[in-house]
Amino acid sequence: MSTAEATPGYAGASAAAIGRHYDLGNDFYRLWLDPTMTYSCALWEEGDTLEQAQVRKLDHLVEGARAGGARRVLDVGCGWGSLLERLVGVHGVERAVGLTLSEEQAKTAAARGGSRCDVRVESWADHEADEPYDAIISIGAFEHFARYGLDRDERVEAYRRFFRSCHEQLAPGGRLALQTNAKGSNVRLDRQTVRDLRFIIETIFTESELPWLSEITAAAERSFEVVSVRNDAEHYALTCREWLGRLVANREAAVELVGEQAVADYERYLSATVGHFERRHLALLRLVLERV
Amino acid sequence: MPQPIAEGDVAAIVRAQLGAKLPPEAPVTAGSTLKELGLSSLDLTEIYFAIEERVGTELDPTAAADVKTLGELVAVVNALVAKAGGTAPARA
Ligand SMILES: C[S@@+](CC[C@H](N)C(=O)[O-])C[C@H]1O[C@@H](n2cnc3c(N)ncnc32)[C@H](O)[C@@H]1O
Repeated sequence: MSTAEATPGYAGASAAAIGRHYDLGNDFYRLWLDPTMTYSCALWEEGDTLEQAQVRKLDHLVEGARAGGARRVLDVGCGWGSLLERLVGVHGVERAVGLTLSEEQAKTAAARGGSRCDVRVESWADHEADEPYDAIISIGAFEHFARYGLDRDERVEAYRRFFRSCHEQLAPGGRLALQTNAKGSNVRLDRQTVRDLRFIIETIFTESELPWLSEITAAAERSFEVVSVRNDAEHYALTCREWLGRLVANREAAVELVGEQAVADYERYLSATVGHFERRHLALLRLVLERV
Repeated sequence: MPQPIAEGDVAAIVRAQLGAKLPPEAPVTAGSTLKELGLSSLDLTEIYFAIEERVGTELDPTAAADVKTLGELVAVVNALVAKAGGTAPARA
């Protein structure tokens, strides 16, 4: 059995590290995320509100994975359940299964998804479906699948385990739509950028590391064909700017919920990240992969 | 004029960067790999900044992307220094 403990190699961030981040409390995130509580880069078009851009993103990935009207869909890293709700509510999916490592998220997601959704506090590394899925979607979770300090080969190996597991769970010809932050090719970091990145790794996203695009494709080799890749770095700059504006507008309420330090940390993280995407130190990848 | 850097100086910069993470008795030599020293990519960037200050010129960060050992790092840096018009690398 391939449990995280029994198999050698890195199997993703611990539930404790994930909990530290996402269990700051739903109410805190509600203050600055959009009403659907989607916590990942949106897909913007002229004139969009944040909510419209988030829904556009969800639908884009649903389409990429060919999940509309499917019988069974897996959402790896389901967060607060916005995609699950949309899969069964709008896209006619019969059964949607969501995985998260955060208890708080799972409670919210289960309540929203209703009877056609199954939300589990479980890692993909431990998930065993009773039947194959027709499509898999994973948004903003891949960042947690490798740890800071692993070298390239170790990261590729960690990612390969993820793709193998998706391969096992997916029906032949089924698609995986994957959205993740990645390293950008501008490696000329100034000192402030290095300090901010270190702060983000040590304070906000502990036990996380970003892939290079080539590591993703190397890890998927021989199990998935790449159908499409797009880099929407500027969309994440916009999304973070929007989140930051909302957080600042609701600052007092936020401080009351999580304290001054946590709010200041999130302000620093969000405002630094806007610049990291604008300057292409970071990339935002949306990939569609097809199981062979 | 940019100046080449000696291995010992890079070793000292590495020690300073790692601080308490590296036990004082752990050797830092030309053959030490960045991996066994426990240097992350951000550590390396900061080490690069310190080296730039020492040699007195900006260095292309992509040049050192594939170095595995401290000795290779020193060689890459001194080659860049030479290209930037510095004196020939000092022999250790
Ligand atoms: C940034 S949130 C994104 C949530 C959601 N997809 C969205 O876009 O709003 C990352 C999610 O990945 C989950 N996650 C991280 N590592 C995981 C793993 N190994 N298995 C399952 N879920 C994981 C976290 O619990 C969290 O729900």
